[in-house]
Amino acid sequence: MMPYTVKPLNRSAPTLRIDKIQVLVVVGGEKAASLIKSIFEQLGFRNLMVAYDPDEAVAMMREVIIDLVVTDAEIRAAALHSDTEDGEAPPPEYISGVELVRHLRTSPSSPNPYIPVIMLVNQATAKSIIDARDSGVNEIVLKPINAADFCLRLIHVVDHPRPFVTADTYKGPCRRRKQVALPEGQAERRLREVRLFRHTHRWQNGTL
Amino acid sequence: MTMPKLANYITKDKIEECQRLIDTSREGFFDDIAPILENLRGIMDAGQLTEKQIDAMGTAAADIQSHASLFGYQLIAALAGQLTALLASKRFDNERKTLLVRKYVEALAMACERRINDSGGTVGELILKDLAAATAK
Repeated sequence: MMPYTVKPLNRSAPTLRIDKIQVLVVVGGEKAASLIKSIFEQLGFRNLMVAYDPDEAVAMMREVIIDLVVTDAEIRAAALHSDTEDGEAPPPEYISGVELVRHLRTSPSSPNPYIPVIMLVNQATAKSIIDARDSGVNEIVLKPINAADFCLRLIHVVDHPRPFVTADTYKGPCRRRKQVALPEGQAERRLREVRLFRHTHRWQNGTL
Repeated sequence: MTMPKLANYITKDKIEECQRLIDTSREGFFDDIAPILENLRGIMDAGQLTEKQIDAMGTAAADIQSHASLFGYQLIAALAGQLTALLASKRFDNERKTLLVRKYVEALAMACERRINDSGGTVGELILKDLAAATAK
């Protein structure tokens, strides 16, 4: 009989490998990207990638496994191609930050529909917040950027992932922050719910 | 088994250090973009814009827009955003585009010289409205 050894089970407490979390920052310019990268580095993140438009971001996500996306709501491509020679609607290949998230959540060709996304939103108007929320972002950070708020949203995304729901008109993290019963006579709109557990993330000890 | 929390790693000290990074970047904003604007003005002085120059200016304008918007510098972000869109637009001939781009670059330079770090109030609104009207013609 061949001798064999039994590898002891790793019973040590799991650790959070922040340095292994792969973050993709999607912003319109180098200076903004540099500042956001510096913030992440200060927090202990080491694997940081930058894309300057949504198309580049999707392409990167196809190449590398990304754990978290931080995107500006207004990226260069959102402003670019705002019109065409004949004044028609912009060509569909150019998409804004909100459309990027919608694409990631709903497109059959999405590299990862469940990817956690934090969106930087310019103005605290109802429309901009609703647009961002309904596109399927996990958290919204309002500008001007503030370290405490940014870190709080980051902690929420990592420590308290919300269930991922699929409905007829929405796909993304559950938008209900409070656990309340459905209004009387209201049918459940959620078709599917996927619970995301923290220990399923790649960055936990032993999974990377 | 209790899973480790990111909240335990992101300490108050780290958050304060991040805020210092943001504050330093904000304080240096106008000095940082001054050379970019100088470069844009230099390109404009050369006369008609080439495709390559338009691309370079678009990248620079998008850089200013994203950086300004992080700090809530609304007027500068709006001007730079509109300039980015204008540079990408195919609606204008080169002569008209050059003229409009010059107006935007001058407005941006003025806003930066005066270190306008908000919407610019009524004057800011008028500048944006005036430029939007010129672009719409």
